[in-house]
Amino acid sequence: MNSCEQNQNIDAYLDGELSPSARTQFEQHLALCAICARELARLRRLSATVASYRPTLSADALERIHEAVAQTWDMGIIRLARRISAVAAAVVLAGSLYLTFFQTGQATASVPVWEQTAVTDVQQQPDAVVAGSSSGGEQVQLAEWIVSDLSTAKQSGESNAR
Amino acid sequence: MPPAAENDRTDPELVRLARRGDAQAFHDLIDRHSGWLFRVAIAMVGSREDAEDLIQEVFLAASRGMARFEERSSVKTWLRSILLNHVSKLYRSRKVRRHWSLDDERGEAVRAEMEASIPNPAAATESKADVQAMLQALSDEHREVIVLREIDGLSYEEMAKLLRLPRGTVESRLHRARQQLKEKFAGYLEGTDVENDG
Repeated sequence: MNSCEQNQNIDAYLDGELSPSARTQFEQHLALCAICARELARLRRLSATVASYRPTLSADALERIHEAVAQTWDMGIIRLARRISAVAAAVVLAGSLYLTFFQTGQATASVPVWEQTAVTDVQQQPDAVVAGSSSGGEQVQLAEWIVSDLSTAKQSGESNAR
Repeated sequence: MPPAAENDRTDPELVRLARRGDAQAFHDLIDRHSGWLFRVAIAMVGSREDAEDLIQEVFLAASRGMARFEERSSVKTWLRSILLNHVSKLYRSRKVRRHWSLDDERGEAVRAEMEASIPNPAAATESKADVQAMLQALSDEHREVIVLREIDGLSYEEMAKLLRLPRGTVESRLHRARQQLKEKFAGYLEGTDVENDG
């Protein structure tokens, strides 16, 4: 039975956890205390016995660990490849949709107004375009003036002929 | 897989290579660290089969978690903390299994099996297996600190950080663990003449 008050330092001394000054102090105590010296000897034996336990991993077990990791590693690469393929497919699909819808709309919108006006029956044209001050409206008005001038010229020609 | 050639690369270098997809670098880490991890694992769980499974789980978890390893600690510390997590899970599952087994009709058989597995101090001899018997006689908490100190060689501060315990708790657990071993295996320890400078 260890009844010395200093026995609380034995573990820390054994484990090298005492400060240098505390260590020196405890070593001085050890030289005088047979109880602590005996306890320390027992704990050293115990410590050495446990530390001597050094089982080794068998070659077969190590091989199995390598195989398991390699398998997981390969699966990881396959998963990564699948993800990259999925992202690539999504990009291609999005690109196709963009070209199909957005670009087609832009092509229609980029047709000049005069061209639209030229191919549209005047009576079908919206009032806003005909009467408005937009460039479309101006061109329609210009066309009407030309028609009006031509009509006037035709009428005056007929009068002259008479 | 053939054993990897010895290389001079440091652990952080191997981790960085493995992160970039170099599988061999990761296998080199396995070769380098599996030995000491196994010693700690088998001392903690007491069964070679469980310890081998644990080491496999540790390396699988490490391969999955490499991206999250920030190199603030050493690779050894990182692997040790993964091992400790898995050991804790195993302890918990054993407790649950034991609890349920004792409640059901097979309780008698399980109790008999458990009693047979408790080491008999009188039967302890000089063989290495006796250390395993000694360790398994301790509670999970006490075994943990004894193994981390005596087999893994951690300081009190390192144990406190790893186990997320106050340093004082680590010290008292270690002291109690040693006292229990000393009492249970007194005859064996008195008869063992081990030279050690401490």
